[in-house]
Amino acid sequence: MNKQSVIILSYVLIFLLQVVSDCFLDTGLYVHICLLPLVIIALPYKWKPGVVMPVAFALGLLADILSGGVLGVNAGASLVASSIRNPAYRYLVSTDGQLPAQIPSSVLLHTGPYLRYLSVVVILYLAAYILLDAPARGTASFFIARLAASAGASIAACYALNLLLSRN
Amino acid sequence: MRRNGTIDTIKSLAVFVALGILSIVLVINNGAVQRYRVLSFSRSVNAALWKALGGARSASFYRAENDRLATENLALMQEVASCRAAAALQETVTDERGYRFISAKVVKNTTNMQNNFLILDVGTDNGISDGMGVVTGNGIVGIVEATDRHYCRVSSFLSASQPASVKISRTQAFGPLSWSGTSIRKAHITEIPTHAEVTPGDTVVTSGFSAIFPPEIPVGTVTGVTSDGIYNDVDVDLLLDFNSLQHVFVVRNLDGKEINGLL
Repeated sequence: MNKQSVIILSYVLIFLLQVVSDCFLDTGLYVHICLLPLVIIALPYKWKPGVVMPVAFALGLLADILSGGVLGVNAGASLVASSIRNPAYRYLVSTDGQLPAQIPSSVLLHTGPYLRYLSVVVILYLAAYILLDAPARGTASFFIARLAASAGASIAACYALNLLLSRN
Repeated sequence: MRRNGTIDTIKSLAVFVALGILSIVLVINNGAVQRYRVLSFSRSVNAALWKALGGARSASFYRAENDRLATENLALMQEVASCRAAAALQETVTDERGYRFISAKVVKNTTNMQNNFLILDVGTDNGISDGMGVVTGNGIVGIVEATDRHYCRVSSFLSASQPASVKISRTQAFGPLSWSGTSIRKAHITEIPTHAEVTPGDTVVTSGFSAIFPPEIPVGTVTGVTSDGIYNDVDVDLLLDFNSLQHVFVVRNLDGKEINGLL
């Protein structure tokens, strides 16, 4: 199995891990662990936004379907994350305004820039996710608390997975 | 190059908007709570919009509609006032001769038979009993001939054997008024003595000589007089249009038993 196949399989596993997490991992009311931003970050940067966004949307929708959640929540959040991915990279990481040729990782970008980039994508993903999901109990304080708790947990989880993938 | 970039940006924006709308639609259609929240929000937005637009509309092309509604409101207010007056009449008004009026609605009314009848929506529960008179402000309607708890049957004045005692208002000459049998607006008075002066145009009112109908209810106008030498036969045009009867008053004579006991 070549390296490209291993990478693809790894991200398929991360996607499935997201589904399993949504289905079976009880993290309480305030914490939602999202791993899809890691997959969205890994989508090829040579693709145009007009292609990345539908692909990310489809991935989110598939996650919604497989996890039995409300259709459109992960899809909408993935759409937001995919739309912000390239501008965030250019603004936070790239020095020459170019998009990466490889999948961004803490090894490739160094920890600081990578964490900033990951954090922005994850936070925007979660903001959209909570806005679509939270009308059930939508107060500002709840939104902020849930966003903060979920972002902390998700960034940690994504960074850990990134380290794991980078080693291999 | 720059043009291609602009086109790409527009395409990306279009894709984002389309997929964003799709995801929101999916969420609303699949999440019960989200749907409830969105509908509540849209209702409040609608209410605010209608409130904001209301002023502009009334100031321009809806002014005529507002005028029409105002006129209609006035008519309704007048109708309410009439209903209240009728209710007050039903509940409390007793005239000086001891008559009480009970408002009733006509449920069925025949006018094309030899002996016509009406069904009213009042019965024994409303204090109705056999033999009570039924009137309107424009004349005699008939006499209650059968009662149930909630309804009663009235033998219409438009019957061959349903005379009522009337008098010529100007001369006080009285006699029995009977339906002509040929037209629902025609009747005639018999047994008025020839010496009693009766001329066309005289007003005919109830006499009050029976215990059934109160006196002085206008019934019709005299249209012609014929004489057989002893009695005058007076033709009368009835004021009451039986074809448009909707509301009537059943008359209860509070002294009726006393009067009948003396007969």
